[in-house]
Amino acid sequence: MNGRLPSATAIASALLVLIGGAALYGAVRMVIGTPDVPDAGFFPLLAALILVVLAAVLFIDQMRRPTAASAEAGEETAPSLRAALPVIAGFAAYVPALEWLGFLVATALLVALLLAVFGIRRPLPYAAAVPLIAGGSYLLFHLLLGLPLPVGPAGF
Amino acid sequence: MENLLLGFEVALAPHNLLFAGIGAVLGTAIGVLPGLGPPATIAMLLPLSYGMEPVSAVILLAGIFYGAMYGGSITSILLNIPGEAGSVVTCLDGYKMARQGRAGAALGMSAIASFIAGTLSIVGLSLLSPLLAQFALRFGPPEYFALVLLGLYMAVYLSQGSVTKGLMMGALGLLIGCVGLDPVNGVPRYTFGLPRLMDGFDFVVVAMGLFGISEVLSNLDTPEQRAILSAKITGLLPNREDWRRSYGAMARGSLIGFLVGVLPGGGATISSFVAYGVEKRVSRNPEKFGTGAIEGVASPEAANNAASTSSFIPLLTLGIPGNASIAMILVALMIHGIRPGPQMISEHPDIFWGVVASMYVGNLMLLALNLPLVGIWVKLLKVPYHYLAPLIVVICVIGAYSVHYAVFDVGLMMFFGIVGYFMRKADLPAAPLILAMILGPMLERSLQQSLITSGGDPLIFVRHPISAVLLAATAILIVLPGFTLLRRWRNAATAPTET
Amino acid sequence: MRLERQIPGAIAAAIAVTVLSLGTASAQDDFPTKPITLIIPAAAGGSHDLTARAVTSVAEKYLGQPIVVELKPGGGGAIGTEQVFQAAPDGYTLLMGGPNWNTTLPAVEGRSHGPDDLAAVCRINFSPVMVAARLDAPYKTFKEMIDWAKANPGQLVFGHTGPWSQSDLTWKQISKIAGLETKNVPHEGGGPSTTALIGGHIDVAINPTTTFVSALEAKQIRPLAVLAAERDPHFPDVPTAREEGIDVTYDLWRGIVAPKDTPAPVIAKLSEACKQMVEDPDSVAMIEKLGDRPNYLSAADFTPIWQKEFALHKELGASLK
Repeated sequence: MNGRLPSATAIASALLVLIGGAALYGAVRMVIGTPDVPDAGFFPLLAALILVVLAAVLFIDQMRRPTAASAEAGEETAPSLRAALPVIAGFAAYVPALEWLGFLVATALLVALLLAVFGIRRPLPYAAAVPLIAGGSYLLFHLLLGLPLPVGPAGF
Repeated sequence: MENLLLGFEVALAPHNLLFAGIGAVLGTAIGVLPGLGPPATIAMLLPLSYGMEPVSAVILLAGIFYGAMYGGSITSILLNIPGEAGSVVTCLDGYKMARQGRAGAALGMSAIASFIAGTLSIVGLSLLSPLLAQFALRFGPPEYFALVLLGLYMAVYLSQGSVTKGLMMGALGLLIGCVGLDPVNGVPRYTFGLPRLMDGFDFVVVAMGLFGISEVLSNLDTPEQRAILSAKITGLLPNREDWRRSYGAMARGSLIGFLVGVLPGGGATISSFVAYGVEKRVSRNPEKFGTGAIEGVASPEAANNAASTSSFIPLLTLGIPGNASIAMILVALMIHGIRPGPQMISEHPDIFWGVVASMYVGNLMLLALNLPLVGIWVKLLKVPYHYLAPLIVVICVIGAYSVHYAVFDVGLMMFFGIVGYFMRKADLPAAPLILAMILGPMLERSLQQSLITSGGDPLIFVRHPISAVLLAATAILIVLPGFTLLRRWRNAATAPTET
Repeated sequence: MRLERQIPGAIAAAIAVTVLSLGTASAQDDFPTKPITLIIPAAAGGSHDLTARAVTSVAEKYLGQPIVVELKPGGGGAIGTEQVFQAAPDGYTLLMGGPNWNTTLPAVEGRSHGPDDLAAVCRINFSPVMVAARLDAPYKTFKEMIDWAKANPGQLVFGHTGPWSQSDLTWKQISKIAGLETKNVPHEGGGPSTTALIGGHIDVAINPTTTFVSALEAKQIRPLAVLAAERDPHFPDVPTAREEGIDVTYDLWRGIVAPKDTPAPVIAKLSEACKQMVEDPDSVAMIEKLGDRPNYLSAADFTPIWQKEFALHKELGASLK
C-alpha cells in the first residue's frame, strides 16, 4: 500500500465483507436443515458465503492496485461529500418530520432545503416553487386521488 | 379463422372499444405513477366489473395490465426510476439516452417495440395457445430453478463494468431478498424482531431509493452535467440508424418475452433481462450496452410486452394465473361463473377470441396514445433540474409511502437512496442488486422444492431435459468470456509492457 | 319578543345542537366511514380469495362502504395474519380467517395468531378437502395409493400448501395412521399445488374442492377421496377417506376475523352485515358457481367452535411432530 486513502471500492468491499460475515453468522444460527430437507438457513448461508468470498477478493484486489487503475474503472478517487451531506442529513430528518409534522409541512421544508442546495437563492422562484411542488403534490395525490398521506398535529 | 373474425366482432363493439380505451389509458397512467401497480388497480376495479358482461370486464382489466407495461417504461427512461420489475432493465440504456438528449428516440422506440412485440405475441397466442399451455405445464421446480439461475446470471451480466462487482451485488441482493419470513416455513429471517420487516423489502421502496433518490444525490456532485440534461433534445423519434440496429433486438426480444412470459410465476420480469442479456451477447459492440444503445431499449421493451400478452395463455387455456394481475382477471371470470380452462375455447369461444381480438385493438390504441405523448414527456425534461429534483423526491416519497401507508417505508427508501449514492461512488451496479432481490425468493423456493423431490440429489437438475438445457446455456455464457479473458491475459503477458 | 331577538338564540341553539351531536357521535356509531380492508393471507385464486370476493362483492349494500380485498400471502398465512394482529382495532382492518393460519399454525408452532389473539367476526362457510392424484399415477383409488406408498417408502411425492396447512396437517395424520414415509414438497398455495399436480411434478395433493374443481371438470387430475364425514354432493362418486379405511376429516372454514381489542359494537355490526352478505342472493350464486355453499355462523356461535378446534389441533400437533 502506498499510504494514500483507500478507494471507495475498497471501503465498500471491506464493508461488504463485514455485512456478509454478519449474515453468515445469522444464517448459521438458523436451522440449516439437510440437502434433502433444506430449512430456513440454507439459502442465506449460500448467499452470504458467496458475498463474503467475492467481497474479500475485491478488497484484496483493490489494495494491490495503484489508484490510477481504479479511476479508469469508473469510480471517483477522491469522493467528495460536501454537496451531498446536507441533503443526506435532510433526508434523515425528513422521516421523523413526516411522522410528526405531516406530509405537507415536512415536504415543504424538504423541498425548501433541496432547492437551496441545488442553487435557488432568489426569493421569488423560491416562494413559488415550494408551495407548487409540496402543495401541488398534496393536492393531486391526497385531495384529488384520495391517497392517504401522513397528517400532522394540525390535521393536514 | 372464423373464430378470430367472431372475436373481432366482439372486440369492435362500441362499448368494448370504450373499455379497451379506458383500460389502456388507465394502465398507462398507473404505469407512470409510482406506487400503485396493475394488480392493485385491477383489484380496485374488480367489484365494478361484476355488473359488466364477462368479455367487457376482461377487456377492461387486461387493458390496464398491458397498458401499465407501456407506462412503466416512461419513468425508467426519463427519470431512471423503474415503474415495476420489468422496467428495471430499460433504465440502463433508456436513461442514458435521455441524458444524451435522445429521450424522444428512446420513448418512441419503447412504444413501437412494445407494439410490434405485442402484436407478434398475440399472433403466437392465437395460433399456439394449447401447445404453449402444455409447454408451461412441463415447467416444474428444477426447470424454474434453472430458468431463474439463467435470469440471475443475465442480471449480473447486463451490468457494466467488473463482473466481480456485479456478482457481489447479486449475492447482496439475494441476501436482502432473504429478509422477511422464509418462503417455505414462515420462519422470520434477519428481521431483528421488527414486525414491519417480516414482510421483507418491497420492490417499489427499494427501486425508488436505489434509483430515484440516489440519482438526485449524485447529481448534486456534478452541476455541469445537470445542464446537459435540459439542454439538447435532438429529434423526437427514432431515426433510420436506430431502426437498423433495432430490428434484430425487437425480434429476439419478442420471441424471448413470448416464451418466458408463458411460464407462470416468471413472466415479464425475467424475460426483460434475459432478452437484454442475449442482445448484449450477440451484439458486435457489447460495450455499447449501458451507455445509451437503442437496442438496449428495444429489446427489453419488446420482451416485457410480449411477456405480458403471453402470460394470458396459461390463464385462458389452463385456468392457471401466472401473476398477481392475471390472478385478478381469473377471479373476475370466476365471479361471472366462467371457469377458464381447456374447455374455454370450445365452451366460450366468444370470450376467448373476443379477449384476444381486443388485445390487438388495445395495443393499437396504446401506440396511438403514447406516440403523441412523447413530445410532451420530452418537454418535461426541459424543466431546469433544480426544480425537477425536488419533484422527483416528492414523487418517490409518495410512491414509497403508498405501499403500506407507513412512514417506515419512506425511511427505508431514503436509506436505500443513501446506500445507492455510495454504491455509485464505488462503481457498484444497482441493477443486479434489485433484480437478485426479486429473484431470490423464486430461486430459493424452486431449489427447495427440487431438492426435496429428488431427496437431496443435485443431479435432478441434469436429469430433467429442460433444466439441463437451461443450465448448460448458463454455463456456456459464463465460460465464454473466460476464454476471451484468458486470451487477452496471454497476449498481454507476451507483449512488451507499455511505458 | 320580536323575531329579530329570537333569531340569535335560535342560531345559537342550532349551533349548539350540531356541535353537541358531532361531539357525541362516536366513531362506532358511524362505522364504517371509509372502506374496510380485508386481508387474505393466501395466494391469488385460492378458495379463500374467491370466497372473500364473492361475499364482499355485495358489502356496500349492507355496510354503506365497500370492503376492499388485499392479498398478502406468505409464511403459510402468518404474514397477513400478523399484519391484522398489529393493525388498529377499529374495525377497518380485517382478516380472512382460516384454520391453517388461525388454528393450526398458532396451536402447533406458536406462529401466527389464533382465538386467543384475535376476535371472530363471523364464519362464512366451510368446505371439505379432497385428496387427488396426478392422472397417470399407478394408483386409481385412495386405498391403492396408500398401499403403493407403503410398498415404496420415501418415493411418493406429496405437495402441501404450507407448514401445518390443511394439506400438511391432514397428510401428516394420514401418514401416521397408515405408516407412510413420503417426500413433502411445499407450495405457495392451493393454486400452485394444483398446477404442479396437473403437470405431474407431484403425485398427490390435498386441497378444498373449490380449488380443485376446474381441474376435476377438465379431467386433469384424479380425485381419490374427500376428508369429510359424508360424501360431497357435488362429487357423489368420490368416497370418503373413512370409507377407504383412513379416518381423517378436516373442515376448511372461512371466516372474518378482527384484531383482538376491536370494540364489541363494531364487531356486532360487522357480524350482522356479514350475515346479510353471505345470504345475499348474488353472493350465494357466486359461491355456488365456485362449487361451495354458504354456512353462516355469528361471532358468538363460531368462537367456541374455533377454540375447541384450537385445543384439538394443539393435541394433534404434539402427537404429530
